[in-house]
Amino acid sequence: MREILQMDRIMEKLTILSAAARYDVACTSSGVQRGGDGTHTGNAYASGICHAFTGDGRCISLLKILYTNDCIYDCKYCRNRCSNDVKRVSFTPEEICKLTMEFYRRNYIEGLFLSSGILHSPDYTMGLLYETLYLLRTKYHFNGYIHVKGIPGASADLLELTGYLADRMSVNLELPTADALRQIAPNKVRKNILSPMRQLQNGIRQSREFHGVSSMKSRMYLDEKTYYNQMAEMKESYARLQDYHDGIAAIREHKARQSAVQSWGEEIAGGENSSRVRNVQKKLPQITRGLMRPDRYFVPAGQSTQMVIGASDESDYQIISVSEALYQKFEMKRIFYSAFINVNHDSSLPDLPGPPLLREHRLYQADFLLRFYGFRADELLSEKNPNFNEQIDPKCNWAVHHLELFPVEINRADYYTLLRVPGIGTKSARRIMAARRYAKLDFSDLKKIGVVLKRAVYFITCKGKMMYHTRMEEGYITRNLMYQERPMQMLLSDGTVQTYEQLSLFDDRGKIVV
Amino acid sequence: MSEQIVLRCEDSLEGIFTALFDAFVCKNKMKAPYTDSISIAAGEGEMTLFAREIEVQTDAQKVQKTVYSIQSRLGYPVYDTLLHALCHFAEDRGTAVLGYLVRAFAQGRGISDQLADPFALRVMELSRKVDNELDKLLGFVRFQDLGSILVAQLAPKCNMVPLMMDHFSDRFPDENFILYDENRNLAAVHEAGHRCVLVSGEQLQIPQGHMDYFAVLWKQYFATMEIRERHNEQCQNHLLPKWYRKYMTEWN
Repeated sequence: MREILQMDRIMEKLTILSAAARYDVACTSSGVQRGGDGTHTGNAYASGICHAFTGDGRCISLLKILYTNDCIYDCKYCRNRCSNDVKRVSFTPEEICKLTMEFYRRNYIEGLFLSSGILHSPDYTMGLLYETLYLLRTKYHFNGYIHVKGIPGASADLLELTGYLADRMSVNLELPTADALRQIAPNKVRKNILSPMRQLQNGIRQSREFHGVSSMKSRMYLDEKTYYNQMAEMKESYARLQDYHDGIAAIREHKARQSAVQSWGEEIAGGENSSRVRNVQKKLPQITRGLMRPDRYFVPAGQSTQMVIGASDESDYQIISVSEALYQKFEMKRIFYSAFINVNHDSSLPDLPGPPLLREHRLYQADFLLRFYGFRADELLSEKNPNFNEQIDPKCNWAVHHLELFPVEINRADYYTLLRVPGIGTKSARRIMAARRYAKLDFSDLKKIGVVLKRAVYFITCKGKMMYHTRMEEGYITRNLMYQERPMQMLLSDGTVQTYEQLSLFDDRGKIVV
Repeated sequence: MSEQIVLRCEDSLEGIFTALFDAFVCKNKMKAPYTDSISIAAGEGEMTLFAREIEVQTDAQKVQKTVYSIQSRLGYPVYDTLLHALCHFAEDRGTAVLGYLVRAFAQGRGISDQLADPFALRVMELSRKVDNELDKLLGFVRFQDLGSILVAQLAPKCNMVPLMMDHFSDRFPDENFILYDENRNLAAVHEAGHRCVLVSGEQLQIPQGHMDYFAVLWKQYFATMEIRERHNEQCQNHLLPKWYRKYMTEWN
């Protein structure tokens, strides 16, 4: 009977605290590949695994919950703000561990995503999160994925300790600009958000250098200055890498020596290597200086952040510029965008008919262009043209405005030129590069390789010829691309002539002006 | 035109690997240059006209030899691709892999990039489809806790159990669990601290009506995670096709 009562309490807590956490966007379990340790539960899979899809089409990968929904802050967009009258509950660390382990065993989840309202103070809350993670990693020996929120304003020591237990950490940017933050989340300060981000970045970088792992930056666009800075750093890190390899050798020999002593006694273990071991042992303390856990990675899956879209009046250009800066200057692994939903019906916030989902979608598309396709923010948008086209995606939009660069010859163009063709992604570009070494490719081959021909045909030639007779004219191509994306909408809109000019009916917020 | 030969083998991975071995023996006996005249058919199928049919007896030693020579001469990544392709349900999977191997042994592993070649392309297609299903199924499989053992039942389109078992034995080294494919009567059985073993031909009866409180908690969690304002069933159906849902806890 007691057990049933207890389970009912957990059910209540789970319902309240997961409902409060569902607006958090990041639920990825990617970025780290870690095999099982052979005795304890858990491993991690580099590309992440989705375990379920909810009715809104978002994936559940991690058990996403708040530690508590009690909060001292009063952010206007948040359901748990202190001025709201909602039931407040808290988990205990043990309860969270138990839930995570049991869900994980049944393959419901890939790990834990732990966030929290601010209870008493940022430090107190961060301490609770740390305690939970510590318990989960050491008592329950959970070796799966953990994503934990960094609480802005918590002390650097706590953040660092937590970082060695988590796979990914994130500090929420909340809103794209400092002004918006001041208005909408008055208790949060921009500085308190950026400084833990910087700390995480430095920690991740140091830990990676220490372990001899390269950074993920290589796959992104870099300006010249950043490139030279990185090269200078690499020289420095090469020296550190040497130290690291010596350190590893020392540790290994030390271990081997210990086990030799255990099984055969001191004499045999001594032998010829002993002087070398002693030499390197002297070096050990110097190598591990400044690193609290040389045996562990610090936030191995990198850090991410998220911001709310549509609660304040930034343009898309401002938002992706902020994203670009975060990727470049803070080495973010991912940035998530969350379409604003006015859960509190707060009158000072915009009253949208629904969450701006299309806008969010376009931002994600642009985000991928920044991360994988070598685009820069100012290529996609500009001060004059600050918002994305509702009708066609950012890459097509860029392409139709740069027709002077097209058509591109598939059998000759380099990787980054191929990537800029609408309908060709990173996978198909790589396949094209590989396949054309053996045979000249034709349109039918491209189709099999996975190129989306309905978009690509306007921009490519195979063996010097285009697939159809195409007018290289902005209006013509745009019309065709739009028709392919939403044929129904185009046909319904008027019935007679569907022209590009009709777009002017929409203003940049997606509402119909007439 | 040379004579068409069909090798008919047992419908299992071992069966096809044996057939691949025999196909190479057959091919090497031919005097004229080889023109892809050998095909492999797994399990019962329609008889073909104008072709000589040869029954293949599954032989563990031939399987080992085939696997070893693929791994050592073409490398593990290629072996992985071929294994995945063979786990597909398509009738022509054996034939496609055979054509691929003939070319690969002659020209080296660069063949996997020659997508203009029909066999290389077909193998890539097959293995890609299997990869995609594997990726989804690793997440969508649900274990039932029956006290001392975890049991997962699945009805996959491709032969998934041999590909999935390593993932789970790495993940749950200290659990007893069974992965059971009801379409093929194939099960991977894992005992805590041991390696996974494949068992075929046995039908598994799962005791019904086992009450598990964590399953109830999970259903509740699943229901609360949806943001109503963003409801989008089409997207959900796209990402989680309905046939996967048969044994998923939250859909029952």
